[in-house]
Amino acid sequence: MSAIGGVVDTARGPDRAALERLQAVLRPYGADDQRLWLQGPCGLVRTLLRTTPEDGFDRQPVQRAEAVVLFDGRLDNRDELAAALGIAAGRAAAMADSELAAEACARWDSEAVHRLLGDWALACWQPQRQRLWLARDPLGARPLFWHQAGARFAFASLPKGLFALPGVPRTLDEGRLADLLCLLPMQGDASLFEGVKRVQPGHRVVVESGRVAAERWHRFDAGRTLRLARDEDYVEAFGEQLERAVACRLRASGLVASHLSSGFDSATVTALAARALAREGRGLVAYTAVPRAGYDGPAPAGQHVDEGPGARALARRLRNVEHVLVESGSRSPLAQLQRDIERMDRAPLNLCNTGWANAIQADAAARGVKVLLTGLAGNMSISWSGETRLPALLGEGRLGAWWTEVRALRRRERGRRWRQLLAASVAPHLPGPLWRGLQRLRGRGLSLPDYSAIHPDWLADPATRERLRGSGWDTSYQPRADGRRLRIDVLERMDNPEPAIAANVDGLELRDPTADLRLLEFCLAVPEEQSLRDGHTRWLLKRYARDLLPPEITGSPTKGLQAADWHEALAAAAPELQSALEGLQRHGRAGRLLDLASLQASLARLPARGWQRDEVVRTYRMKLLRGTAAGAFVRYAEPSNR
Amino acid sequence: MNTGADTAMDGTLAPRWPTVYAAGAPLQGWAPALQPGTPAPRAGADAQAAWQRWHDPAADTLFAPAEAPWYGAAERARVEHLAARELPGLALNLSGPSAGRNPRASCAGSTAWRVSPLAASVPSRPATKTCSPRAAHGRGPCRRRAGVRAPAAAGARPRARPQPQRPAAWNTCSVPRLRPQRGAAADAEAGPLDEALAAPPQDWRAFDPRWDEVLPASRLRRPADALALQALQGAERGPLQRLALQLRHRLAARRPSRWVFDLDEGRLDPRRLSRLCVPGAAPAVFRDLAPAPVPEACVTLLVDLSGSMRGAHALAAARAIDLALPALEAAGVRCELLGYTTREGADNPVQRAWQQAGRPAGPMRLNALRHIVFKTAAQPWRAVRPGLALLLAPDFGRENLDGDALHWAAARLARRPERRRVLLVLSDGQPHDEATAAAFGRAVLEDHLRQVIERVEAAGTRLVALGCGPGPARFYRHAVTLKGPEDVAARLFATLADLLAPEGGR
Repeated sequence: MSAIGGVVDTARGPDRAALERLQAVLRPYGADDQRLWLQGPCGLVRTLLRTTPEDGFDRQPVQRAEAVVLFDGRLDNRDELAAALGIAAGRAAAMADSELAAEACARWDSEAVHRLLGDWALACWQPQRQRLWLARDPLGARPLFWHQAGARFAFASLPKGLFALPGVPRTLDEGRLADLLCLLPMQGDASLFEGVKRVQPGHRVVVESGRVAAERWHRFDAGRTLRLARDEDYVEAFGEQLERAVACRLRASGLVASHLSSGFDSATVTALAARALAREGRGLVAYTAVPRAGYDGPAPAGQHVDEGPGARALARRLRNVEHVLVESGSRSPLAQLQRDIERMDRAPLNLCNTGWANAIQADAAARGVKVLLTGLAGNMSISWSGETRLPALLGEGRLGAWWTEVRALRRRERGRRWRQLLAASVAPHLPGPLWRGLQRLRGRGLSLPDYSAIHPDWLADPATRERLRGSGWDTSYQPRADGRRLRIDVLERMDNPEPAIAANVDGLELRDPTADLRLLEFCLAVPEEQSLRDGHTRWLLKRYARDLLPPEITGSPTKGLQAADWHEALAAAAPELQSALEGLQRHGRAGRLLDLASLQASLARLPARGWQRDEVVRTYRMKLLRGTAAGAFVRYAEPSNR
Repeated sequence: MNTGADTAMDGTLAPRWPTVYAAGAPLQGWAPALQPGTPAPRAGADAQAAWQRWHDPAADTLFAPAEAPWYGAAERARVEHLAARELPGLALNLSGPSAGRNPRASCAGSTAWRVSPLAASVPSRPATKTCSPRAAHGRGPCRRRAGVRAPAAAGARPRARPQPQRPAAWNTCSVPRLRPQRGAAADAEAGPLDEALAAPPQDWRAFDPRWDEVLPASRLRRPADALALQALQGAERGPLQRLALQLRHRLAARRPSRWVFDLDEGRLDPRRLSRLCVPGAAPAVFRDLAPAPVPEACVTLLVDLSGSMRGAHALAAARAIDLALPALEAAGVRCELLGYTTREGADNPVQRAWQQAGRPAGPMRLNALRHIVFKTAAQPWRAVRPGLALLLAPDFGRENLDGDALHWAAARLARRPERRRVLLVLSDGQPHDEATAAAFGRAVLEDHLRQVIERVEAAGTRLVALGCGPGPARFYRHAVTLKGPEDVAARLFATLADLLAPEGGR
């Protein structure tokens, strides 16, 4: 994994001192090697973290007659790509991923992006054509930002790299901050900083003759449906895709570790990784975040607070797994907030979860782990529940099938009420205003101030309202009937690669097999009836994992609650939070953007019990902590000495 | 002020003053003599030291020549009263015979009332809304003009310096930015200024530099701050001390030793033992290791004292500095410790003056600098260490104008005679001054800093910045990004060891 950056200045040529600063800023993300290349109007820098055996061959920028390439990432189809390029296996084995990517760029120009599978972002400078193009993988696993001013075009893995160049202002983009506070997805190519643009996932940015053009090169196919003869065929094909997605992510120059909760996604990834590593005589470190010993706090309905037992049950089955339980509940949610913001150039969205995630990463780094597997995209891929099948059946008028499925679901999951199932089936078909009216009548309608720390005056600003309307995002969260379209919308608008590059500072690479492009496209194409059948949600994965996972996981009637003891840490950190909010009050801009009075009032009346209640979770876990994180980010973006 | 009456004191003390008493700083005017005759050397020196410490030359401008001798006598009485109260040992010396008190003689011998040109240029300043003792200190001349003996003014002044028996001649007046410093802000070994640093960047200026000041840390330190320093001493420093020891060893290891032969004592030299058998031959059969001359280097540590450094960052920096400076001294490396912030925050007299002047176009600086000298290159650390408490004071720093501070520190360093000059900046981010940024945008501060960095590097100074977060790396070509406050000491020591490695050996 690398952090990359560069400048093309056709008027004056790049300034070496500025490039050195850019490199210095990116050095923590690639501590193993740093290189600077300067020729004509183009200057490129790369810092490298070696996580695969082939990274030892990395000598970026890779120079070919047609192109000079910077590549940040990992290729998961090396053999396939080498064969297409006509490179012998022996020679390919001694080539870094960056070199293979450069060969592809030299051969296929910007169409090479269709041949590259994995987590990547790249920059390709074509000196003969005086043309630069940048691209990111379809899921945007690696970040890339750019800035243009006059004849100078600059790019970097993180905005902070661009700020090392003179003339790039570090000014907060209030619109994007509003999106962040309102939990809206990213819109367009804007970033959290004014003038700094993102290369969007699955997009290519071409700079030629002073013109910048962005184009989308990848779209998920919403119309493709996979039709196989038998139900078992789906399971077999699914298993093949999933095992390949895990196996190609085990290429590492050090230890491999994984997240292991009591849920399906990480448990499946862990089990498959352990099995594959065992065949090579290698081990796996599996991490489970658990509440403090003796914690017996309340859990929301349908959830359990301790993920340890389920995880332990799986770990016991896997001989080559070292199972590590991580307790991080006592750590203040603010403990590493500043550090995380500095590493990511953005605010973490969920402070409760960053606590245990950071604790796991710290332990992994101390053990010399190079690769940490996760299952973050599982909900959108392998463990898709299929519950949108209910409104879909209703919408198609297949009332018999709908009734059968509803009855079966009621039978399997006793916690489900008839009214809930009916509402879930009908709600997607209601007109939006009617849905929102009904929600309000039932006292369930959520307005932004319920869960967002955005300042009421700012929210009432016509420009903000217009922005919310223009986002095309339903902030009332009305259920939808088309599960595939829903998932594609989420996947295409999700762009959160910063935690992955921040982990590089700890010497780790995060890899998510559940976000494998081939696997995702397969899962999207699988018909909904393979995910919900006879009252079984996640039916496809459950069938596949029947023998892979223990009954403590497959048969659990409840889902694990991450950071269940979050409220204890929050209560203990109340004075610290109060001080942080006062600091934000003194900071002019943070005080204008955030509803600090509301946050302080919430903090002043911390509940003694009932932390599992929805409104408490919304007020404290979402609004207070997310608002505090957003405020800390404002302070970071626009520092003040107050 | 110089009455000219006490010529004996002038004659004996003047040549010795800068080197013996004032850590290299020249004397800023003599105390008026109070009686004829030659005072005892101890008493005379202490009287002059007290005068340097408690008398403000700016107040001299308030009196007509005819009033001056009377004021001088009263002022000396006030000064010695304060000295006696603060420093009992000094009081004993002053109370001895021939301490030089004779108002009549002083008045009679008075020749001319010398007005400091600088003091004359200081205007009467409007009072600001908030006025903590520290914030008010810089406005001292104004207050003292109102009442020379005012107890409030005396009370507002900080406690005494740590070495009462060794006076230092600090200049308490406002000093225009980067002009040759007066008082202790300058150095006895100061040389000419490099051309690259001789003037600030052309497109940068202060709207009104008259509020700028350079002060010794001891002037701003309050008694309460000493507690923080004690806490620093008592804190768990084991790991840091080990790192400091490693630094010492690394620096010592880089001083190549050489053997010296034919000594009368030392280690026995087997190759010269035969001399013992030769009658009449010199019995110098010993050898010993002699260290090579100390590295010709001067290190300046420039510390950001702004509000954002408060708390963990400042504490970590203080711990690291407290161990690094003795290590450098032990290795024979000259080192200077400087700090910087501004006198006020967003609402400040410079900004108000700019507004009253009709907001002339910029860019220009709209705040008053407060540069702090914790330790000059000539001072031993143990003598000035109490000043470090200022770094830990919870309410001290305001804004940070990094470009101006860097220019000042680099200019000081450039005057040093050492061939190798290292300037190490400890900061937590980017330059920030709310008043300037509001008027001209933050970019002007950043551009100015970048220009100054270019100049400093062009002048041959090795410039490195250490800082938490990506801030310093945005501006400095050589920046060390700290993972957190706990990282300061380790990275500082490692950086110092690298920077002070023999040239060509890195």
